[in-house]
Amino acid sequence: MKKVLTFQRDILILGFLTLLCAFLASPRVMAADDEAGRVKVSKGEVYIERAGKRVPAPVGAAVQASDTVVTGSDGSVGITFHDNSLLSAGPNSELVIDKFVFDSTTHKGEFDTSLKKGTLAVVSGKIVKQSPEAMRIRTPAAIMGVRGTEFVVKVDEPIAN
Amino acid sequence: MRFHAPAIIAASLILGACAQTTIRDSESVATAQPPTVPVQSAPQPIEPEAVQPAVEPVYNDMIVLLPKPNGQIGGVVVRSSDGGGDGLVLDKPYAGARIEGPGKVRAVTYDAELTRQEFGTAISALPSRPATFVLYFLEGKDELTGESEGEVARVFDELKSRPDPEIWVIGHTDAVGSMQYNDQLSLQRAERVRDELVSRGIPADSIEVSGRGKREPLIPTSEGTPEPQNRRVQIDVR
Repeated sequence: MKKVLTFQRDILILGFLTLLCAFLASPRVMAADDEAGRVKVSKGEVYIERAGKRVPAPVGAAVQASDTVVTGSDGSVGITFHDNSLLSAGPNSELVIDKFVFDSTTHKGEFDTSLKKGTLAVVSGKIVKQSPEAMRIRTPAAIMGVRGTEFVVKVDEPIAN
Repeated sequence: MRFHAPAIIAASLILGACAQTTIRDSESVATAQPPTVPVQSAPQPIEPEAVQPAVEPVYNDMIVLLPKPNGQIGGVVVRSSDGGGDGLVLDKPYAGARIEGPGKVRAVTYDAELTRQEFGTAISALPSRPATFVLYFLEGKDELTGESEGEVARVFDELKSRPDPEIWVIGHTDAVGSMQYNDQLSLQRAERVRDELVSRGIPADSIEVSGRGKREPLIPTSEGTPEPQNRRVQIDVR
């Protein structure tokens, strides 16, 4: 009887240590609250740069504030955000999600993105409907305040004069 | 307390593996640091012919408005990134702006063909528009009206066509009956719709169900009034 009990205790301790180890070794799981949107379209080479690391971006991948979404020469990507804004990028593009804040009750929020290069299509969502120009798109030379519409943006490599 | 030898050995193996992982992590963090900048040597005297005039890069950033399906265009205000000026307001289909540098914002006009050539791939990668569907129910029941019964297949097709759909099914009632009764009924209606969608092949974990009871009528009525338009389930998808 005593033998069985100590055996059970050993198993318990082992189990606990294994769990502890798994917890320490695994990367911190992001809370769902960090999700600003989700990849709905992903073709060719598409990835996300997050905290200096490359993360794959298949359909269903979460997009967070401060992510950079990158497409290769054969890539394109479409993202639906929590306020129903849609953003999509064509090939050879680099898009930074600078800021995404959205209150699903009041629809107040702020949405800042920067297109570093490539092409971008935008359909504005609930944030803009609630507060015009609370969505801003930056390019190297321009800043665009969105009042509610659909539009496209292109950034060519700057030419030295 | 006395530990068994096998347990101690296994535990130390596990902890050892942990320690190794931790070390690997900190190493990868260390290598991720930017390389240190080499110390600059004292500046050399600059030859007069070596002096370059300061060059401003010429940018070529473009924005073009698309025609909207419902024709409503709120527009976009475009400023150069130095932030000066009132900004150029674009509010017509294919109205565009070229931004070449500080203060250089020029109005341009595109057409459908040119827009397709330059932006076609980005436009075709736009996700499906978020959508809302409403199904109506028989009084006091979680059974769809005949008309809505016929709608289910169309709604299902729309949901099914979306990759990674996020679906909210929200039940509502009219103002007949108590708060508690209607909370229960609204949830029952939503669950009925969810089950129908799942049985047709929508993954259950992509659907969130809730019941709002009689709190959010489509048509406001006095207490106790039957209203067919309020006996409904709303399906939001994005």
